[in-house]
Amino acid sequence: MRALAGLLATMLCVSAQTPLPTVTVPADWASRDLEVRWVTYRAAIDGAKENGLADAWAKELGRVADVELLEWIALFDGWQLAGPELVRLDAPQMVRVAIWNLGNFDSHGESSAKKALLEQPGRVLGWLNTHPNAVRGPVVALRDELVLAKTTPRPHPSDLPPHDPMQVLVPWLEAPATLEQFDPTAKSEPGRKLHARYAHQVVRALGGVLAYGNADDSVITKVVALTRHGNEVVRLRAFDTLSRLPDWLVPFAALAKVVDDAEAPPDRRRLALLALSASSHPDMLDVLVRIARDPDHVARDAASARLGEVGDPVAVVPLREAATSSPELQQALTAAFDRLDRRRTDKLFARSPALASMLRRAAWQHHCREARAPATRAATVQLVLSSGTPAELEHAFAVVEAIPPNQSPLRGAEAAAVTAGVELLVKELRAALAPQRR
Amino acid sequence: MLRNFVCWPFLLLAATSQPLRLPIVLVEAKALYDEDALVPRPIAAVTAHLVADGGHIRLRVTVSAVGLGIEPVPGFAGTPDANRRTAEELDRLLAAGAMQWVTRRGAENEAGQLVAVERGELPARHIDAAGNVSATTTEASLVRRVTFESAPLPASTSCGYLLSEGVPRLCVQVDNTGDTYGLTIESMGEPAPPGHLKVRR
Repeated sequence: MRALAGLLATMLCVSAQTPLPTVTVPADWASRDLEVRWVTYRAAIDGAKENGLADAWAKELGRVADVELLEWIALFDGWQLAGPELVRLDAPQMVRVAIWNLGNFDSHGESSAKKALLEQPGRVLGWLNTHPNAVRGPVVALRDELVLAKTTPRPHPSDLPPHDPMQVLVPWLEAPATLEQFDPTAKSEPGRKLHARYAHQVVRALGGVLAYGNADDSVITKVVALTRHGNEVVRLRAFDTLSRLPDWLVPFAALAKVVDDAEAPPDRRRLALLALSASSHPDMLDVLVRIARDPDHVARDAASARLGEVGDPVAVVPLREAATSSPELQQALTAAFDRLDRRRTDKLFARSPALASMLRRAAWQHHCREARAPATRAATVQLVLSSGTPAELEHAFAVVEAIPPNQSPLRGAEAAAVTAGVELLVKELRAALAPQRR
Repeated sequence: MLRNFVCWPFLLLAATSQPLRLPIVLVEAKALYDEDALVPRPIAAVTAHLVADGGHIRLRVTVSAVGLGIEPVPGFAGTPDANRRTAEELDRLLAAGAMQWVTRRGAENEAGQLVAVERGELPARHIDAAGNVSATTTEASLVRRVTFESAPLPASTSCGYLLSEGVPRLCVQVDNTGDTYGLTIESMGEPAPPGHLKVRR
């Protein structure tokens, strides 16, 4: 009987697996331009209903050894799918594109690229020694790790030199006002205009911003500029890219300016509001609250929805008070209030991301000497203490305290003041919890 | 919303060979599963049940890509309470046969089994070029939940682990005295988080 149960379980496990879709590139694939191959690939996977199609494409490209396109996929979409094929093919692009992904904002891309590099330590250290200019940012830690492990450098002569983000990304992020559309059914570019830029090239470079990581202010400024582009797809993808940055890098001030610009087109203001709501700036929720109260603002619905998702009960106190005398406001915010209540019931405000946000806002208001700061502080302390057990809260406190100072949307003295304010609040909260621990 | 269920194999057996006896849930615990990051975000929901069935006590653990409090992938398309990346990862690991439930017995691991997989679309958000937001679902059908069941457990403390590509990513400790039962769910990140979230019920 036990054997039968095991057999049945195995059969069911097998039936639970979904085979990858079948992808076969045309016979003339290798003769097509790289740009044509990229457009064909993207057209096939974008919006695909088949699960695993991008994975199947990567495997097919590996089968036909299209290392050029695999490299582009790993550069602009991330390491996850194309990287393993480059490893399998022992491609000369493998090391440089894995190094490129070490700063990937997507932790899956970053960690899988690092894993691949650590599996060939001698080759990687040899490459780093050959290309010392590539040793910057997260690559420094990798090099130190390899040196510490007494790795013997074994450079592969065929490995290609590192990519320069200034060449791979910047020319495409500095898009001209007019962008051409590329015909995905073309097999070559006979009609390609000299110096033409295509919309998909700009969108691809936006993906590269996320895969490369290490986005400095100059790169983010270029992405912000693209949110004003005449091409609506580019605009949308630029805003989406900003919303996918780490929360402390989301350009809060630039986005708030668009949200408040009555002269800006409504679509830009709505998209800016949505991107802004991904920021961890301590003023972010105040913007959402202000817009949610304004029945004439084009982004009001989006602000209300996002308040329920990323807001907290302390931030919406003014809204709840205003809603008591305004049935219209109450109706507009019912879903957001319900969601906040559910999150509170489930003690989600005792978890580190929400806790960090609340403590930062209280500390920020105190630093700015706002009149409401004492009330915010008291309400925050009360909410936190009622949100979890001492053990759960202690876990969250430890995480909040471990956030590096450079992961702040503020700079200089302001960042230091808020960090110090958060530390004080944590100390106060721990003191309040002490009797419960005893 | 399309959902496909794979049936519980032991229930199939029960239906064919003996009168159906539903397992009795002795204790339940729930927790959010945190990713391994400096500021860990909840990316999955875990439900653990200790069940008595046919004279044996087993642990049944469900890992879900949907549930209140799960944070979405960054970007416009992600919607709270679901994480598409988690669903894709569960799908990939299942397809590769790279997920396994084991119960630690001294120096050995006793294998559990995968007993249920729920597939379906995940909630998503569509934002058009005009900035209008609408609720939608993912185009692809993904793995929403997977459920594992341990081998029969002893009347003592035991620890079960969800191995992902051979690496333990989730631990559920069972405290079973025969009269009282306790479950502790712990996310296992790499590197280890500064503290451990333990949820006891």
